[in-house]
Amino acid sequence: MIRKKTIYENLTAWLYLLPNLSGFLLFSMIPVIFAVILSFFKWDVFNSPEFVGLQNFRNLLGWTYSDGQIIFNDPDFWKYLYNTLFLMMGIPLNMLAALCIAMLLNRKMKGISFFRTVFYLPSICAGVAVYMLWACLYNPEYGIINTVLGFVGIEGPGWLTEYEWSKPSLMLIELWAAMGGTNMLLYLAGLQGISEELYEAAEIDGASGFQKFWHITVPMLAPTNFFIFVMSVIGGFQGGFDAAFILTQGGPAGSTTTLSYYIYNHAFEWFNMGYAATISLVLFAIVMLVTIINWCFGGKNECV
Amino acid sequence: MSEVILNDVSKIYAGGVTAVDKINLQIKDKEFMVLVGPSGCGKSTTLRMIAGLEDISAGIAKIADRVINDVPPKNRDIAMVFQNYALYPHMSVYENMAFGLKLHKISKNDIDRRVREAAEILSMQNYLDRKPKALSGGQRQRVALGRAIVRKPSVFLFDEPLSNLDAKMRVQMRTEISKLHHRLETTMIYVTHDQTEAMTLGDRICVMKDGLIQQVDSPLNIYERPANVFVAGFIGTPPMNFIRGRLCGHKESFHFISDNGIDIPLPESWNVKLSSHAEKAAVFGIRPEDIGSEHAESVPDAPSLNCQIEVIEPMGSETYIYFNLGGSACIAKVDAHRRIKVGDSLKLPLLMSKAHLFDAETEKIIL
Repeated sequence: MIRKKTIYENLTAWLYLLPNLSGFLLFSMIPVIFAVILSFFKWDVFNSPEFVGLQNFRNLLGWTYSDGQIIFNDPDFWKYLYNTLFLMMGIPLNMLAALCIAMLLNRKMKGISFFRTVFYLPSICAGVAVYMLWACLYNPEYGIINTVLGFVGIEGPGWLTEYEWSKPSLMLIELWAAMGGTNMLLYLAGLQGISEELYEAAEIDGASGFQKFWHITVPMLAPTNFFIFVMSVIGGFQGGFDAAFILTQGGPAGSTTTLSYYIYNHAFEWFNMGYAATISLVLFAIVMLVTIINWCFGGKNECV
Repeated sequence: MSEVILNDVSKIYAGGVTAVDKINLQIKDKEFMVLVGPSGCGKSTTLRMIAGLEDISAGIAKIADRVINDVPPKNRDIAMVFQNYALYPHMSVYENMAFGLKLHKISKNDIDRRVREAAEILSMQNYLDRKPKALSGGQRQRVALGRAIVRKPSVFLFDEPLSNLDAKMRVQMRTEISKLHHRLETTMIYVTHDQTEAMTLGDRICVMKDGLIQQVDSPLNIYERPANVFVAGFIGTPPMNFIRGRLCGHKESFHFISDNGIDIPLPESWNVKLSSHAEKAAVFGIRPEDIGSEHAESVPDAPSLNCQIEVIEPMGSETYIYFNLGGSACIAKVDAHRRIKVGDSLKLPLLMSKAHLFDAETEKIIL
């Protein structure tokens, strides 16, 4: 009797789980397992996969030492890893901008809901449209940025076409998108979770505006900061595809190609499915490692 | 001298809501003043105006003879204890207490000495390294007290500091605050909605309602000589019994006749004061302990009420009996060992020397 009941309960539970589980298996778990398997094969989609063992990993991560120099088997991978890390240097600035906007939008003033909506608008716009807009702004001939610079006698560069300017230009787009996006919302929620009494107590204790920010707001936002930082780092490693695909096609001279765009190129431009899967796995390992380091060092800052 | 004076102080919020309406209050140096009243009476707003956390819309507030209307909170020489403790959760107990002193650039040695002194007073020496989340509610409130003590302010402000504690801890902390006042000899202003706290802690009590002060006096005076029906009903547990009716009679003999015909002869000593109120609507008020008590029974010819018991609440030291007097719910506090049961009919004598009469129209006290 009891056994019958247990089977029935288990069956009910599995039925409830089925829709989500089937989606997860179909679109996440199976592709991940497939990618792991694929990384040991050479496959161009049109012919049968050929087992190559660890060759893909050797090609990707291996190097030789010759004439006092390290020569990487795939120097592009390291270059694009550098590009990815370079673009991630904008994360602290993005976070700071999001915090500043959140603090402004946390003020009690008339029409604050309107401003909150306006600042969140870029996040609900289609990414392609936003990048096309920036392509217009950055256009060296008729873009508004160079036009304005021209008024003050500065000849603006080719923002997306010059090697030195392409990465900072993409970082500026990221900054613009990040300051009013989800991070801002998270900071706003974090700020609204800080008891007003703490500020009042600090005011009576003699704290100035900056001291209240430094001694109350910053430590109280530590968990929010940590969460946003971890998510931004993960997103940073996986990011850069949209901008590269729409604005620069990874150029000039690969200066805006990130690891995700490199994976796309190998998989769908050059049909090196096995190699693309290998880069994906290495990227996964990097993200995993960095996140573990983050948790080990940053997770201790949680205070509330 | 840290006298606090409020002259015609008002708080009017945007939209025209008047939270505090031209109140005048003088709190003497070293006095423990309790502001008490129901929710929304303006007591917390008054305290926050003294603290500088709310702007004063009109009137003048002074601390130690200095007008403080435009003085920022940090320069008012005050310390405040909040209802929710307002401890900085990321700081240890020591850091919480030391924070204000650090901001005032007090030397490290002096900070350490003051924090340890305060911790000793509050028996918190062993908890200085703990974070607030590792403390009980009572301990957190002690830290909040400690944070106020170390500042050595001229005026302590308390905004319902015991509201979040359980009943037992509240009684314990109440005595600690009382001891602290005697030890520190500093002006203290304490806001509460709990009239027991008000009665037990205050040198004087300020009863507020709808942004207005109803009465300011010592706890005993407020209890025995309430200024109006509101104060009489608000102070005292169980509350005073009120019977609505009319004052009948002439110069030599007055009676209170309730709306449902209960006739209560009033003492001759009241005649002079009652002469101007003859034939007017009035409210008769008497506290539960002055109905059917041993003291009332010992008075010869005391008027009495005939009642039928509806509910009995034995409290241990005494028993509360609830009865209905022509539509008015009444309570009497009688001897705990009196043999009574629900449904019994009783004749309860009234201790008229403790009874009160209020003007029904103005609700102010007549006697």
